[in-house]
Amino acid sequence: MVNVMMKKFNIYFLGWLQLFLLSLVLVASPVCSGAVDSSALSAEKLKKRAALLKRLKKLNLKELGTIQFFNPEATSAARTKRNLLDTAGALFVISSEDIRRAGITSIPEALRLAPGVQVGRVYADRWAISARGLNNLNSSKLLVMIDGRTIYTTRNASVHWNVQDILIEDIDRIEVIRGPGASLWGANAVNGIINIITKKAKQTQGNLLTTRLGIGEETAIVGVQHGGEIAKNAHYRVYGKLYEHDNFVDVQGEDAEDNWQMQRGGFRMDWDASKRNAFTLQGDVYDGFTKETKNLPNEGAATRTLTNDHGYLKGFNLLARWQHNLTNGDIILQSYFDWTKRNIFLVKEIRGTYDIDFQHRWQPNAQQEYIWGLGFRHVYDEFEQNHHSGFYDPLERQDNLFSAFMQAEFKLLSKSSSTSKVGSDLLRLTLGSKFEHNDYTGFEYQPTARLMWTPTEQHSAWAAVSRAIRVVTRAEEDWYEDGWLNSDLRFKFFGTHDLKSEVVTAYELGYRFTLSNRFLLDTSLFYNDYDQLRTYETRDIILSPLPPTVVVSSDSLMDGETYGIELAAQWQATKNWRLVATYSYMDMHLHLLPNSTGVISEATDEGNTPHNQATLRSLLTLSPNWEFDTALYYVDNLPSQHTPNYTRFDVRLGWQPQPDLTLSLGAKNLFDNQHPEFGSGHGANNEVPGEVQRAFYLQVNYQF
Amino acid sequence: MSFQLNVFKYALDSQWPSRIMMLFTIWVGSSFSFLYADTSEEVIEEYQIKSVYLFNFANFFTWPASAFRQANQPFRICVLGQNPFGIDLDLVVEGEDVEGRRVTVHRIRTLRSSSVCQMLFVSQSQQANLSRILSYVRRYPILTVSDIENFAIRGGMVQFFNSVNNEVRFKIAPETVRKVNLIASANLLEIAQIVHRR
Repeated sequence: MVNVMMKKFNIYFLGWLQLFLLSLVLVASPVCSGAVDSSALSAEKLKKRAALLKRLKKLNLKELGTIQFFNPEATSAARTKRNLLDTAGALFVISSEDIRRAGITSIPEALRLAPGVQVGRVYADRWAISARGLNNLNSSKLLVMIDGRTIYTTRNASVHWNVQDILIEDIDRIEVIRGPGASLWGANAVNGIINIITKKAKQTQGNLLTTRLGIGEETAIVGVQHGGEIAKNAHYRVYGKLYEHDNFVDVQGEDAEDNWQMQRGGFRMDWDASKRNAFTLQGDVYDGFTKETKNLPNEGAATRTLTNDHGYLKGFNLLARWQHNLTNGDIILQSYFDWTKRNIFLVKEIRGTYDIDFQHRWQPNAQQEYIWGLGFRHVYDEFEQNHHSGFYDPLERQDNLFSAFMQAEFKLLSKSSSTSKVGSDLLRLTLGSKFEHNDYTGFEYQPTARLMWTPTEQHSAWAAVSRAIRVVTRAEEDWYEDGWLNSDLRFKFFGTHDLKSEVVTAYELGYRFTLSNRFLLDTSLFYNDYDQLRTYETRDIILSPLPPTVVVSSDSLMDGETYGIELAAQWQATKNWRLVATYSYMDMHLHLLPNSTGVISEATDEGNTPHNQATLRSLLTLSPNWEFDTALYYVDNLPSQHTPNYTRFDVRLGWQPQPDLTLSLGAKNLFDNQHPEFGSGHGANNEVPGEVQRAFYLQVNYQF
Repeated sequence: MSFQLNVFKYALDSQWPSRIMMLFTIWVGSSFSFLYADTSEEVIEEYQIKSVYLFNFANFFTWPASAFRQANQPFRICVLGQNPFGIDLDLVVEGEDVEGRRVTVHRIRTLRSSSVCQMLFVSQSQQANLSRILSYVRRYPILTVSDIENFAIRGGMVQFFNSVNNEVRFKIAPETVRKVNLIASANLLEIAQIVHRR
């Protein structure tokens, strides 16, 4: 085992070394300086500016310190920091303030705050999450990252949300991009990208103790953190966290016996070595158990037994990043290792991922910007069979992924305003593509073209056409399963080796409107054209020995369209009252190809995504020490999951008796005893889902 | 609004290709209705706030008589390095005076020309030269202001910083201020974060 590990480290190290040398060459390459564009302000604009400044001058110094300037920032969509209003994509930013005031305690639950994202809890520890549809318990078309570390599993391209956690107070923001972003970020960024960005160590200095007690959801969360300074410009933090979640209930209101627990710890170190060089090192370890009830087939019999069993999950990750600032651009070299072990119902799994990623951004002048990069990823896994009904063949596998991307951005027209920082260019064109080679489907390309139009500081509109793919997974190629569909029909499932990637061509339009920092409206419209969607095909029916056996395997014999509209509005109604509303509507039309003998109908997949979703949140600051926040979530029904629509109402009262102490008292799902959010899925499924119930909590945060 | 709701209902009932067209129409419609909305409220920028602060500081500090060579000499605010204020600082001081002196803004390129300034804003572009700048102006009664990180610790007088809510606040190093015979008002010190150099 150690030997294997060493070998893998060698591969990893060599890759690192090569990229490091390459980057040195780049650092040495000459870079030319850009021209500063300067032009005059129109007389009317000047008058407006002078009037605004006059108003500011009337304020006393204390009041001046409470004026917010306009600065919504986002990195994901463009891989570089940029204004929200300036992003040619359907971006929504969930801030740490949003998370705190919505009483949110986990990453998957935070995603409810974004428009166009479908979040359904299946068990206390499992979520069905997607953006722009095609949702399922193991939905596969999201690219999710924490500080640049990809966290979806290459086993089936879904995310194990129950192990993806950090100290929630350390989240700086979550950037949610609906639609493809594959040209920069790579495979799986088909329906959306979720980029979780944590605070720098410098922002979390001092000690923090956070305790949360509750019923219905988390019974206890205890977090301890210490942040300090190692040297000048070098900061660190270490944290530990215990997370205990209560049982959900079944339809009858009885305990679903799916309580779970996680312990984790981690650190982050940031060192700004010089003006040009910055280093980050961070990592986490976790260990915990989950409990789930499954309806598993018995060996040699047409019966199933309800089994409640523990799953044991552990893992760690380590990430290093070097950023080097050039005269007009920068270089980022990042590498991580992620290891996870899951001992669950059917199989025991070990999975390790080494990744190295290099990018160079170059801005030769004010009109052009280029970003290009290279990446290498090595994934290995080892399976052990836990149950007679299913196994992986081969049990061990190693895969390599090579990728390259480049993107160019051109300012086609510039406006005659030199002082405004927001939208100083009138028309901007972005062209780019990702190219990659993986061991499942070989060569893949994922291009995009985006156009951003900013006629005034208040209005901007964008349009995009992109192609993205979801690569074939380990489970699709190598999974074998045996069982009984019912008392007189057996089934056999086997993986397929010549599968094609799922492909989307996405057409998007967006419009944003802003009135200073008081009001922001963000709308987007999309039409996604999917090809080669995954299907489960009947290959054969074996009649003897009786009972008959249906042989099923996966294929790519479905296409379809999805389309919809997404709205998000933020309104600072008064200085102490902020309102946030989101609404999304979408529809799906899937078509099995004529030669398909798919066992799951189009309607089943279509009925897994709600047509309408809406949220309305109110954030009210009653006095400097008191906050009162409410949130309303509406989700339409899911016909295929037999889940009726639901409305959830959350309320939170926050009190800060002294600067270092904050208390929150809250309730979730206040007006409803219990409701299901995502049902049992396909007919022959093993899942026995739980329902979400009313929950209460008390949270105390102490800084010292 | 009710018109839009009706259209929306119709969109949901009709067949899907026309639904797309319908959604598109609604989207364009709602977008354009905002185009004609009231746009009189401007965006407040970071450096607009900072330029107002700079002007205010002129009133909250007292300069020794030696700071001015002539009786009618203007009060000079200088910006060293790349100018982040655009035209805003000029707009702020336009027609203003401090203790009977006209306030003027100067963009200076060399350190030497700073000796005639009463207030010196050191732009972020000068971060690398900071030690040299501070040791040069130490000899003159010049109020030094900057938003460079650790400016006050490194020997500057007033340092801007941004709160997590994107508000502009400032720190003062009173000992540094006193060394060049400037006097900071008590009101100012009350609001500022105080930095003591060790």
